[in-house]
Amino acid sequence: MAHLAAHCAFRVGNVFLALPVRAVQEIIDNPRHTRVPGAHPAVSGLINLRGHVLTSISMHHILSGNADPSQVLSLICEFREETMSLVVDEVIGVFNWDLSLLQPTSVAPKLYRKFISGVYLQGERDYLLLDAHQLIDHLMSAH
Amino acid sequence: MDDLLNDFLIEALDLLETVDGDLLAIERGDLSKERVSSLFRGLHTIKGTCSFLGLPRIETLAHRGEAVLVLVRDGHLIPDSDLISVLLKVSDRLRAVLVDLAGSGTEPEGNDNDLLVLLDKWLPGVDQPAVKETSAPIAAPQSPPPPEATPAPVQAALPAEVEEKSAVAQGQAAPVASTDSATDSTIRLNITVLDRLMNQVGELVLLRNRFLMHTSAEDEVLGSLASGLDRLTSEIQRTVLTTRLQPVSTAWSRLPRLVRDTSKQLSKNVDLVMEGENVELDKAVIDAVRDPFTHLVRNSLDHGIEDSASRKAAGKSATAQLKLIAEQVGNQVYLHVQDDGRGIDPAKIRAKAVSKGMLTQAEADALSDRESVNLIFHAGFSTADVVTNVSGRGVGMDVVRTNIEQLGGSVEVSSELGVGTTITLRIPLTLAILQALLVQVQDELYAIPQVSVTELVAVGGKTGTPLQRIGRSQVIHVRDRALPVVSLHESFGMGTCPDKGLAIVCTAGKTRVALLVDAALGTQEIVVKPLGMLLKGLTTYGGASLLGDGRVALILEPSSFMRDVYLQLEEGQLSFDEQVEVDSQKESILVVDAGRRRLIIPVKALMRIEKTDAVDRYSLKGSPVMPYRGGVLPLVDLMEGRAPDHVIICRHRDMVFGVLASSPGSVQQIHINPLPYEDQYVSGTQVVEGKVAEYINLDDLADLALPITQTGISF
Repeated sequence: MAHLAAHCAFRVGNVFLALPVRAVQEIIDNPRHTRVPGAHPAVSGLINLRGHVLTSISMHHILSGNADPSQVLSLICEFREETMSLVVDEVIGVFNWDLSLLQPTSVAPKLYRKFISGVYLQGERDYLLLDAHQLIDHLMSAH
Repeated sequence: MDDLLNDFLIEALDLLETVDGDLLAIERGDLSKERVSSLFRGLHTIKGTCSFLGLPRIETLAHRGEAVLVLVRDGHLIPDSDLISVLLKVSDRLRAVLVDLAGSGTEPEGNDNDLLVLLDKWLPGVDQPAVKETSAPIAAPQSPPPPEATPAPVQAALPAEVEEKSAVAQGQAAPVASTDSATDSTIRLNITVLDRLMNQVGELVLLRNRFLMHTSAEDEVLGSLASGLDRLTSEIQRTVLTTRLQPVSTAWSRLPRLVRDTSKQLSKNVDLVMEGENVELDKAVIDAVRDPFTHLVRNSLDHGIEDSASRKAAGKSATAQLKLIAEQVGNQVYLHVQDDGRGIDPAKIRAKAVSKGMLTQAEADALSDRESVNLIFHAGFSTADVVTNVSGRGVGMDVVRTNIEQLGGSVEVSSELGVGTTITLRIPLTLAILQALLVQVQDELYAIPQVSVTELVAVGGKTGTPLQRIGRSQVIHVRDRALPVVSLHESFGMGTCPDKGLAIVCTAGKTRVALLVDAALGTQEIVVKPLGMLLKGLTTYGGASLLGDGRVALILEPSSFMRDVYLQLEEGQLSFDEQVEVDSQKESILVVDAGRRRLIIPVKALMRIEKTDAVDRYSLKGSPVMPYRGGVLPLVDLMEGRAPDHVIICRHRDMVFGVLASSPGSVQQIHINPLPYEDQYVSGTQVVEGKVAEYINLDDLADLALPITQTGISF
């Protein structure tokens, strides 16, 4: 039997992405961001999650170089033992995917390949499986 | 039992847990550099401590294990499960010996030849293990090479990590027998428990603040409850804080013994002097600097300090002095390890870096002496030609740097060949709760630690102190002293410097800087929350804090703003800490050397002073120019063929040009009274500090120059 893994799918602009569900802790509606001058431009700012200060990463900036729109969601995720927020537009839902059907990153636009570990076709849509470690390495090395 | 031994046992047992965890992770395929280094450091630390506690059995075994791990770390050996099994056996044996040691107070009899033979299988060129149970723990090296990287113990993991790894290790490793005898009189608390307590007290303080804000004076009962709560909260806070504070001497307690034993082994005479032992630091900070100090002191003893004969030959006293100094400067603690030894030879460091393949020859040649000396903090850098028990494996200094940087601090080395070396650790006083001034810049609020704020000065408007410009710098005059002003609007990209505002005068180390903000909202106790990994590299912030209304405010680190002060140069060649005296009758001038001439440049024309190099210069239509900030800078060359090392960038009538100079010069206040004297580019002479200096003729020079808009330079 195929091995199914639950994924949380979300949208950023017109790009559809997904993360393993276990990485996502909760979803916050439009939290207040405190800007951090001097930080990497992909850092949207800091948010207060029940007394914890979290760094928020703009997926818009990472994918397109654009600033976040005014209405956003924060996916609260844990990467490398640190809880962070990923700023996205919309959460599509949770899907069980058979990872043996995962397509290689080469089917994705070149621009996004370094941050993803594969592509999953769900319905008519390609979902890019986000590789958070690569993403964080990229942000840390770029700054 | 000896406190030292006790400490060692607790630490070593912890480290073995980490070692097991690392071994198991490596067996599972995690061959990451961090993992292998962590494993290596674990055994290295145990070995290092044993060597001065005189525990030859443990030392020998750990040393042999470490030798195999050197091969793994350097990529010469890929560990297979056989090797992992042997290393786990080594770890189990070490643990058994330690537990025995904890019970009896002496290292148990016996030998580990069975394991040593197994380890030797992986070591090329080693015959039978030459184990001498009774041999002296350390072989003194002959005439040790100059001071560079030293290995030494470093706590490989923070307690939280240890806990996690030990959980992994538990299933595999032999269970630790009771070590009660080592821990009878104290309770070891995981630092995370204290951290949690600290956070909770922090939240309590915030809650109290909000409660007090909403308590009106009219309700007597509520008022008295509120004041009771207020008092109790403050007391709890103080108590919790003091549980975490320890004098820095705690971190130094092992060092006198270390210095005594090691200097004996090396046949050197060393006086250890400690200053500022009572400076108090957070427990977490104390723990984190303990091992770096061991490294640094060992390093100094082994490499920095010469033997008596060489010292005498160099005209120094036969007994060397090793000084440990702690001082609180603003909201930082500076810890210095200072020796009067032979110093570090930058040329030798460069050569070593090239031979190790860390740098190309060209890259090495481009380094200043100061930068070269700082290469000792790079991973794998060791100039020791002989690997000894004391040092030479290149694991020391990079670990020191990593540990200190994890605390948000920095490490610097300054050294003078033949005179000595000083290593300075700068560590922020990151106490979890601090008194801070809240300031507003447009819509954002920032917290400035109260300890660094000296005064607030209203600036601009009808009544405020006027904001003045010196070149590109802005200054205010406070009691006849010029203070550089940094506008947070500009620094943070939030618009241009306002005409009116409030200057927060901060001390940053030995210098002062005024931060210009819109308003101050009063002081508050704030809880320092650390910033995440993506923001760790920003020196501008000491952390973040939550305000009463739930929003996040960044905590500013005033010292970091000094870099925004235009005139500030490397090593304070020209800095405001000399506090240029202002006198309306006088004019501020910069006096620079240009070849054999001395030039006077009015400070009002000054934009920047930059280091330069002869290779940067080109000729454009017969006039000298240099590339600068993306554009072309016209140059005035009065050097008569000598090599300049600075370029003074001036602006006059919106024209920009650079004057080549052999020194960055110094700012003076003088009565302008020149003797008229016309020469090319010069309009008069005046004696300054007993020497003739020439006024540059700004009008002449501006004619040579280019309008800023045409240079392409972005300032």
